[in-house]
Amino acid sequence: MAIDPITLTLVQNRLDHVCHQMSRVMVRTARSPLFSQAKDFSCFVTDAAGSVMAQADGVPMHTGGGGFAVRAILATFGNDIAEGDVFLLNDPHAAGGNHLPDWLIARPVFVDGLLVAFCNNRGHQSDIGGGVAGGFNANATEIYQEGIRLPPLRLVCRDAVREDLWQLLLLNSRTPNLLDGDLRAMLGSTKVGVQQVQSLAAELTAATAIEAFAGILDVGERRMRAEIAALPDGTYVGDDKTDSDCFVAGDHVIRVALTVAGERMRVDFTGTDPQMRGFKNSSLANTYSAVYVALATFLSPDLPGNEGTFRAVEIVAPAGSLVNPRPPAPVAMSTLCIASEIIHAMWKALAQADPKRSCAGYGKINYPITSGRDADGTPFVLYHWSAGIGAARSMAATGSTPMEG
Amino acid sequence: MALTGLEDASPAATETAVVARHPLAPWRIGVDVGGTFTDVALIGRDGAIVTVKSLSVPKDPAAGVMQALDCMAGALGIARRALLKGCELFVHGSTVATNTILEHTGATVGLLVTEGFRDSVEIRRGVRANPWDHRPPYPPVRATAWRSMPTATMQST
Repeated sequence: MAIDPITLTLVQNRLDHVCHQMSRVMVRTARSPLFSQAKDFSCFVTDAAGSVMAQADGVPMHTGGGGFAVRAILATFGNDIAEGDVFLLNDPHAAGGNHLPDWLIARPVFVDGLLVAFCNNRGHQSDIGGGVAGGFNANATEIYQEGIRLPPLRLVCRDAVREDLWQLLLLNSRTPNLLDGDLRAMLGSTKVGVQQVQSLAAELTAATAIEAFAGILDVGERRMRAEIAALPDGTYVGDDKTDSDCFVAGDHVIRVALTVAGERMRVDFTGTDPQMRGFKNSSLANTYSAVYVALATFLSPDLPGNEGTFRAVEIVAPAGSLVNPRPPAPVAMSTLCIASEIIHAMWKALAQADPKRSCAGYGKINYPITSGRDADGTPFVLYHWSAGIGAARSMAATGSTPMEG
Repeated sequence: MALTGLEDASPAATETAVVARHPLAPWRIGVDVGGTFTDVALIGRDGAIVTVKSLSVPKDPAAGVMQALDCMAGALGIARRALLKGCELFVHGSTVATNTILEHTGATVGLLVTEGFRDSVEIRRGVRANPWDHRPPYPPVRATAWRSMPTATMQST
């Protein structure tokens, strides 16, 4: 029997709230001001297959493509996932990551021995090694120069942290103390998330919870189909460019054609320029997030933040282009620069479909990072986060680091 | 816009008391003063609940509370003094301050700030209540930069 719409709405809201709770734990326990002040992390919940069910709290650019990462974990570990395991990854080419500084912690949720969900936290680490302190190496021409690459890893095995692996991670950071505390905060936040999802499942029974999780994705799909159907059929184009590849001046253009046909939309990046030498290429997960941000913010901020909404949208991202580069392309800047260009191209095309909702620019952000050595020789890296400018502030859930702090 | 007080304040609804059964002392009383109505709830030792809704007195919120207590005492057939004598815990809440901020009806305020940071409040930190909704404007700043007074020079620490 289908679950009634009211229960489904309550389940969606409850999962959104779980994201907020995980986030609160992270803010209160993380060591780096990049988390405790700037909130450059995002908590989201996926179902057992890795589809995003809730992404209410955090940076929209982190989570739209969050499912890629969980699906990479499932592809790697298959049925070898047990209660008390926690997984870690960051690689955009090999593991569904968006860029290397964003590390994803995924903790499976078991109810009555059954895998029903994953609670996830994607957080931007202060330093992950690589060519420059802070992770943004503008001279990078290969991802190897951007920091340590992590495939899907089992960081915690049956509630025991893999100490050798932990030491490998710390050894590869200029700020091991921050990384140590911040990773523990990420572990804690996902643990609280798991408890909350388990208590929801206990209220509903495991079987009903699984049915409700499928149900909210269906609601997301129906809501998106209705939004698309309200747009006139047709093909709308948009573009935006970045004016260098970090080495030579010259335009690199994102081109998108949106085709609306009834309740479906095709987002086609065919014609976008080839991947560039520098680090402004967009990983596939990042491209999906950017498309999701553009659609959700333009169409309706009330759309359920789940991947069901994507079922009505087909994304074509040609391999070897700026929006889906081949390895070993560097991609570190993509979450900021090239994400804005993708969103601009999308909004320009959407504005043709519905001029009343056209909006000002996304507000590309810039912020300094200072690094050096303390008096005793210990390296430090400090992000001076700016949450962005412009009519549509880009990293909407983050907060500028207070100058006085 | 007020948090409470959206109800229709027709004269017929100025004072209503609901008494399911007479409560046993000692009881606890909670008051919520809104922009339009003052709500009072009493819960007896036996769990019996009595509620009163009466009009607020915006010029003197305390007078509105006393009026509501009188209404409750009347509904129980006792004097206000007896009502309060039987009370072991009196909790008083109010949305007056919240309404003042929301309705912008308070005093003109200024802000003492560290020199060089006069614009910090208006620049804000970029945080949005809903990260997926970039369209709503930010709420107005109560102490604008021209009313902020720099008081101290930032010292490096």
